[in-house]
Amino acid sequence: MKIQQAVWKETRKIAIGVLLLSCLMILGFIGLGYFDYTVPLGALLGTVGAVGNFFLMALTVQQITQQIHGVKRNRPADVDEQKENKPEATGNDETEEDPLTAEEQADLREQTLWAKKKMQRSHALRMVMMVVIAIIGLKISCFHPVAVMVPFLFPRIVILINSFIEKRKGV
Amino acid sequence: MIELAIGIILGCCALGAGIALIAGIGPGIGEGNAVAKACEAIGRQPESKGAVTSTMIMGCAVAETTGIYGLVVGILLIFVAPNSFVNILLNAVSNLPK
Repeated sequence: MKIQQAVWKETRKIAIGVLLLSCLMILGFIGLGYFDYTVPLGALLGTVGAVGNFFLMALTVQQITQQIHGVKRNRPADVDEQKENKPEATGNDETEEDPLTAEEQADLREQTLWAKKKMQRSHALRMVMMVVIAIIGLKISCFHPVAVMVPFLFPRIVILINSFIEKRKGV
Repeated sequence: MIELAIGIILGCCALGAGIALIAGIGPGIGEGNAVAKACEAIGRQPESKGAVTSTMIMGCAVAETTGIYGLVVGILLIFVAPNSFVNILLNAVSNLPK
């Protein structure tokens, strides 16, 4: 499976942000006087966990969007012809709802249900992965427990900072 | 008496961890719903696939962090808190005037 450009782009953004925040966290540990070799090791494990979780999630989203083929492709040519020949009611294409046939609606419902189940299964598996990483970080003494757990929370901060920067650029 | 206090501490930690991990259920359901709606949008307009994918990745990441907060709190309550609380209790008991 080829990984889409959007997945790489978003993952790269998150990875850079999480790495920077992890460095800040290590500086915080140094400032507080708790620094030893376990802190960078723990930060590394936590960063790998957080970025890996994000990447797997993005990969699942990509798989889902690739599998969704779109209902209009199944539509026979005469349905589109009928639609084209139909006189415009309001003349405003954007506000008009595109009617789907009963068969298309059923197909769409089936695809939607499949996507929902796949995402929920992926979420559960990724949560298990995070629990395993957290337990490794807590049980093995070469990792600092706090340094392992804190990077799990960084992706959201990176997304918030990114959206803030993009908003500022937009203004 | 100390054994009872330690038992209460361990029980409360386990209960708290269980309650904290309930937070993992919501994001799972929410993400599923968001993806389902996104699929509906792609199904209706396949040409919007790229834009929907990018937006959905970010939306899912934000939704998921809520579950991870719960997970972090739950794991800390299971693995870190009991030892700390028991140590605090034992220190307090040993410092009591006889």
